[in-house]
Amino acid sequence: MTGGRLNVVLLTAPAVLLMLVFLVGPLLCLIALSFTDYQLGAPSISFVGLANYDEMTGDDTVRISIGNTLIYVAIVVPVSVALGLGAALLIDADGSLRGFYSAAYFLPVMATLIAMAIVWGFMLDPRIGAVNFALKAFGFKPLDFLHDRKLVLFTLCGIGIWQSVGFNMVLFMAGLTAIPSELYEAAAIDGARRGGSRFALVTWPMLAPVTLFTVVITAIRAFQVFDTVQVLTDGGPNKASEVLLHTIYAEAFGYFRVGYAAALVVVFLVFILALSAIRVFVLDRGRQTS
Amino acid sequence: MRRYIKAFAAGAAALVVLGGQAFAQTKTTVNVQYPLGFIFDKVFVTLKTEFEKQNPDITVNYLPAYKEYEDAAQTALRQAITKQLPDVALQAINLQRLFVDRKIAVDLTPFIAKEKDWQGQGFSPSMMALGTYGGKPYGLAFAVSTPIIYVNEDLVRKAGGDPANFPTTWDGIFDLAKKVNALGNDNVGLFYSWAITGNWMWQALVFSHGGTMMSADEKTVAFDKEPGKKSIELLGRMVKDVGMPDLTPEASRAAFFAGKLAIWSESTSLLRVADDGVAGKFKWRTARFPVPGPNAKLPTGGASALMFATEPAKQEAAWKFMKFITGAEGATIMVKGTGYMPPNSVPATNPAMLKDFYAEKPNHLTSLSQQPLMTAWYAFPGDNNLKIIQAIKDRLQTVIDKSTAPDAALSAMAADVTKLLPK
Repeated sequence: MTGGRLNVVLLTAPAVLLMLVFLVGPLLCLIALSFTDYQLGAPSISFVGLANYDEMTGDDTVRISIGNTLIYVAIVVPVSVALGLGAALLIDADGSLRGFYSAAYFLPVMATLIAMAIVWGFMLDPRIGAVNFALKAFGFKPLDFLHDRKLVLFTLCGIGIWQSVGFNMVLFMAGLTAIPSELYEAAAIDGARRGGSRFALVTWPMLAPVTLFTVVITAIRAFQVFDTVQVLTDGGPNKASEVLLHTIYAEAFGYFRVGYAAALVVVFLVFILALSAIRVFVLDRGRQTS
Repeated sequence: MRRYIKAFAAGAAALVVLGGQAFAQTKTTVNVQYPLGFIFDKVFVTLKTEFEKQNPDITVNYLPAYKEYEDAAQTALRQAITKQLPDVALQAINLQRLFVDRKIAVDLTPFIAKEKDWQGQGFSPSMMALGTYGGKPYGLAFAVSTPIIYVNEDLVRKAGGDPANFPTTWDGIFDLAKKVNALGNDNVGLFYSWAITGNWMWQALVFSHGGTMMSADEKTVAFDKEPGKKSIELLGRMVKDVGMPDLTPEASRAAFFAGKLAIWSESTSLLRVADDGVAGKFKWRTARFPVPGPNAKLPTGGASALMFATEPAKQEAAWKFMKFITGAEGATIMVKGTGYMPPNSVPATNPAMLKDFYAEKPNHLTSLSQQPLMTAWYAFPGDNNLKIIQAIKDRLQTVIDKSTAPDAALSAMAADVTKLLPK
C-alpha cells in the first residue's frame, strides 16, 4: 500500500514540479510585484502596499481600457461564434467542396496576426486602401477606419471577428461530426424533416457543450486582443482603441512601471479566471446531468 | 592520400582561426544606434565614411534606427536589461538623465582628461553643460534645435500676405492662416506640430510666454499658471478659429512638401528634409517663432551621444567615434545634412567649415538668431518621466480633437502630472 502511495507521489512529482515552477511560482511573483514600486531595470525595489491598486481606481486610461476591452469582447464573441456556427453548418451540408471551404475559412487562424494586421493596415488606408477604393466605387464617402475615434474600436472588432470565425468553425465542425446520424433519422421519423426543425431539435441541443466551450475560448482570446492594437493603432487615437493588454504592455515596457503593470495583470487574470471558472463548473455539471 | 587531405583541412582550419583572431585584434567594431532615421540616415552614412577613413582600425556598425526620442529611450532601457546595448547611442537631450540615474551611461571624465586642449577643439562649457549631470560629463551634445516657422511664400503671397514681413505675433499668423484657408482648393493655413516628442512644442509655447513646466524647487506643477493658460488657449484657437486639421507628423510633412500647407511650425531640424521634399516646386523661407512673453525662452531640442560600452577596448573606439561626430568636422557634416545647429563652437566661425554655408543658406540662420533664447528642454523629475510625457500629450490631443475645452484640458493635465511626480 505504501509502495502504491510512493508511486503516486513519484509519478505526479514531475507534473506538480513543472506546474509549481511554470505556473504557481510566476503567479506568486506577479502578485508580490504588484505590491511594489519596481521599475524595470532599476536597482531598488520597495513595498508600497495597495498603492498600485489605489492608483488604478483613479486612472482614466485603465477605466477606458477596461471599457474598450469589454465592448470588444461583447461584439467579437457573439458575432464570431454565430458566423462560425453558420459556416460550419453550411460546409457540413455540402460534401463536394468541404475541404476547400474549411481550408479557406481556417486560413486567417493559421496566418500570423501581426503580418495580417499590417495587410489590414494597407487595406484600410484612407487614401490608398482597397476598402475605401471599393466604398468610393459604390458612391460612399471614404472612411478613416483606424484614425477615427468613433470607428477604430469597431474596425478592430471586425478584424478580430475575421480572425476567430475560422477557429470557431473548426470547433463546430468537430461537434457536428460527433452527432450520431441515428438522431436525425429518429427525428425524421417523428416528423422533423425540414432543416429548421432538425437544427432546433437535434443539432443545436447536441452542440450545446461545444457552443459553451467555443464561447468561453473566444471570450478568453478576445480579452487577450493585443497584436492588432499594437501594430495598427497603438491604442489611439486618444485612447479610443486602448485595450487592457496594450495598457499593461505600455506600462511595463513603455514606462517601465512594472509594479503597476503587475497590478493590472492581476486584474486581467481575475477576468480570465472568471471565464475559465464558468467553463469548468457549467461544463462539468452539464456532463453529470446528461 | 586521405591523411594528406585531413592534414590539409586541419591546417586550413587553423589558418582561418588564426586569421580571424588577427583580424579581430586589429579591427574594433563600434555599434551605434541613433533615432529619427528620416533626418539622420544620410548624415550617419557620411560620418561613417569619413570616420573610418581616419580610423582604419575601427568599423562603425549601425543598429536599426530608433523611431523617435521616447522610442529611443525605451528601446535602450530594454536593451540594458537584455544586455544588447549599443556602444554609442544618440538620445534626446532631455532624456539623458534616465541613463545617468540608472548607471547605464559611462562617465566621460577620464576620457576628457586624456585629451589635449579640450575646449580648443570646440567643446565649450555651454556645449558640455548640455550633457553634464551631478558635475560629471556623460553626454556630448551632437545636434541642437529650436522651433521655427516654415513659410510657403507662394501661398502666403496668394493670400495677400508679405513673406518678407512675416507676422511676429500669433494673432498676425492666425489672420494670415485664415486668409489661406479662404483660398480653398484643399489649402491649409496653419499646422502647429504639437505632437513632437518630449512635449517639445508645448514647452515652446509655455516658455515663450515666460512660463516654466515646474516650480523652481521642482515640487509642484507650474504649467497651469498664466503662461500655460495663454498657451493652451492658443492651441484651442488654432483648431477652433483657424481650422487647423489634426494631421499626423507624416501627413503634415507631406502637406507642406506638396505646397498645400502655408504656415508650419516645426523644428529647425527638418530644413534639409524640407529642401529635399519641396525640391524647388515653390519658394519657401523660415521665420522666427513668436515670443509674446516677458522672459521668453525656447526649449533646446536635439540629441546627445552617450557611451554605453563597458570593455576598455570598445570604450576607446566608442570615445573616438563620439569625439568625431560631435567635434568640428562631424558637426560640419551634421549641419550640412540636417537643419540642426552645431553645439561645437568651432565650425560656425570657420569659413572652410560652416561660415560660407550659412551665408548661402539663410533659412538656417533663423534658429541661430534664436540662440539667446535657448533654455533646457525640460525633463520631469522622478521615475515616471516617460509616462508624464505621454500624459501631457494625451491631454493636448483632447484640445486638438476639440473633445475638451482648453482650460479644462489644462487643469486635467496638471492633475495627471501631479499624480505622477515623486511623492
